[in-house]
Amino acid sequence: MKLGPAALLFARKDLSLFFRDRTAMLLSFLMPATLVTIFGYLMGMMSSDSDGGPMARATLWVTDVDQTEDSRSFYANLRTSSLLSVRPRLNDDGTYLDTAYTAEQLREKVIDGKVDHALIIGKGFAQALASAEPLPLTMVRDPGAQMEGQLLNIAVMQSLSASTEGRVFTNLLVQNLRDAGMPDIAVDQIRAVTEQQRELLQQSSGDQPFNMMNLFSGRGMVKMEDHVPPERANNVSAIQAQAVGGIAVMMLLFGLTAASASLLREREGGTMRRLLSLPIPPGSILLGKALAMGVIGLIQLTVLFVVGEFLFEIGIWRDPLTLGAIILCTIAAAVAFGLLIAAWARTPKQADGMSTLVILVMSCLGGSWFPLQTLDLPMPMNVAMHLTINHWSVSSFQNLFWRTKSLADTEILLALGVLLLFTVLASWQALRLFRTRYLERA
Amino acid sequence: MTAAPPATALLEVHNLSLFYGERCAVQDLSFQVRRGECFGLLGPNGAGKSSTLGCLAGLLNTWQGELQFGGDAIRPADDVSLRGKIGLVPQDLALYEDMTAVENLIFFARMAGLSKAAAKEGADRGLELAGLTDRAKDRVDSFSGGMKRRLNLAVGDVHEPPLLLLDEPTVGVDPQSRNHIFETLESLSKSGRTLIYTTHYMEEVERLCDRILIMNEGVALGCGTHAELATSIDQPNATLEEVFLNMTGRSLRDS
Ligand SMILES: Nc1ncnc2c1ncn2[C@@H]1O[C@H](COP(=O)(O)OP(=O)(O)OP(=O)(O)O)[C@@H](O)[C@H]1O
Ligand SMILES: [Mg+2]
Repeated sequence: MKLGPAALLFARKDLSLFFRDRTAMLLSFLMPATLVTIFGYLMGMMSSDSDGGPMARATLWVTDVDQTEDSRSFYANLRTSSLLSVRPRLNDDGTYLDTAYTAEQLREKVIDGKVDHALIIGKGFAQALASAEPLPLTMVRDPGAQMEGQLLNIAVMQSLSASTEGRVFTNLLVQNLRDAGMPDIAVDQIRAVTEQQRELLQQSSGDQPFNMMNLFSGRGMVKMEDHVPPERANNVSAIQAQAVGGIAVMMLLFGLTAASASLLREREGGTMRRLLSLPIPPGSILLGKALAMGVIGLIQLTVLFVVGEFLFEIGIWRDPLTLGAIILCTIAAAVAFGLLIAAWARTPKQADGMSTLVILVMSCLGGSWFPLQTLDLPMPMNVAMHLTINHWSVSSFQNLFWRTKSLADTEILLALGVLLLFTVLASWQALRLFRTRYLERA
Repeated sequence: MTAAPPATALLEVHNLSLFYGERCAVQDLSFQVRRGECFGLLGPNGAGKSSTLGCLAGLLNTWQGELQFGGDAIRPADDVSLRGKIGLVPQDLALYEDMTAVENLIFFARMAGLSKAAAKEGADRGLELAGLTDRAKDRVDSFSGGMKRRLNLAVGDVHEPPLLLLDEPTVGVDPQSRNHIFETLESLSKSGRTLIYTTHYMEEVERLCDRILIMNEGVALGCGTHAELATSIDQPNATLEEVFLNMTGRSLRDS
């Protein structure tokens, strides 16, 4: 029989076996969809912009010793921060849901490791604010909680400037001038002018809370100019395009290497000998396997992108031709990778270990897990990233969904070219290995 | 050795040698198989029987020497269409455990180039040969060892190749089934098919084979009918067991 028909027949056998095991089949299609859902939401939460999506928050315990209008206003403002989850929490009727601790109790909790960050609004807060003295604010913290620490600093600054309508900045300036030895009369003059400016600024920002950032943008230091590609699907963020593309490639690699391992089962189960004794070109076994894997991969990716579209509106209908081209090249590369592993391995265990290792490393370095493509990586990392299959397809998916580029874009063309080049080289090497490992000594 | 008249030889093997790395599995082996005969390859474990069949079936391609099929020099591993004329029943089971008996038969028949209809026919014939007609739709992994063996044989013959290589097809098969297989092979032989039958059981070659090649450690010790072999050691009434003992200095069973 000729190469083509034999390969088709072989692929059909593989596919019917694949579809027969309903559980395995569903798993292999549902798993990527589940993962992409979780990842997409998670990434979305971590990077949520001001558009009000749910968001990961840092926990901050607060106690107000001062109990003045100013301190209460500051405390209340902290509760509105989208970066913070303030404790003790309040019930709807204004009573505390958690125990409200005193400053001393909170300090002990931090020492005990029960609380990571506690803000103490000390006695004399309002007084200090009025007279431009240093504010009695203390953050009692466990320095090990670095990540939340950064968030907390930003949030506390934001709330402080908003609740005092920016007076903290005037106070800071005044303190500096006093420290520098400027006479009180001059300081008072400068303070009056600055306060005037600040009030103007506060008025011009309308009912928006005072924001340190507005100090720059409002005064024309840095003007923000937003441009969204008109074709971009309304909701998609860089990170979601990344998550969908990244998971797609990783799952495809895992799925298809598992499928290609059946090549080893053909050998162990003895059927390879029988196949090789039949009037078919040996290459048709490899080609048939590749075809079956390709079909499985295509279904896998289709399910994945439909789910991605449903959940995140990544915009799969915007440019189906480009999407199709990226999908096909990615599948081709993944199939070639799977065949290469299967042809290289002498036992299924080897194939399993090798493929898991290589796929995890490639996924990590290639941007399947973290949005590496938008960062400027140091040299060795950058080179490593470009050596992965994941990078070339993840960046293509991102260029398509987020940057709304098309097939005519040189970056996409280059990426697809690299994927195809890998496909050719890996398949050729797989065929060569297949010949030596399966034919000569079968 | 008795040289067969070339006109009736379907397969000629001249000075076949095969190495696995340093190890010599087959050394300078020569024999001829006539059209329509059942030719026995008799030898103990490790004699090189499977290796010889592997060269003939196209599984191995590193051999030296010369093979001729119907008078033409051949290299089965490089010759796709030739492999359609030489069928193999491998010594180890070669079936898809998660497919049914009939699916296995049809898949391999189609891979061997049979049309859908012909494959269906071949499968029915194979099921009968294997005595598995009533289990046709059961998965292979639900079969007993002997049933798998019978199916293994049937699959190898599903496309009815002119030359069928059988590598110890009756290992683990119960006496009734074995009898059934023998009868089938005898009828195949009568219908003009050529068989090469590999075994280390004397009774089997005695019952089935027209001529026998005795080999040990990769080397041919003698070739001919039972009578010719007995005569060659000057004991015309010797059993095959005695012939083997005489040729190797040890009994076939304990080697
Ligand atoms: N794949 C292989 N790699 C290395 N050596 C091998 C391989 N296959 C067989 N041999 C060696 O070749 C020799 C002949 O083996 P072969 O399988 O042909 O014997 P056999 O006559 O079929 O034996 P049996 O009755 O046990 O099936 C043995 O010494 C064996 O160890
Ligand atoms: Mg053997």
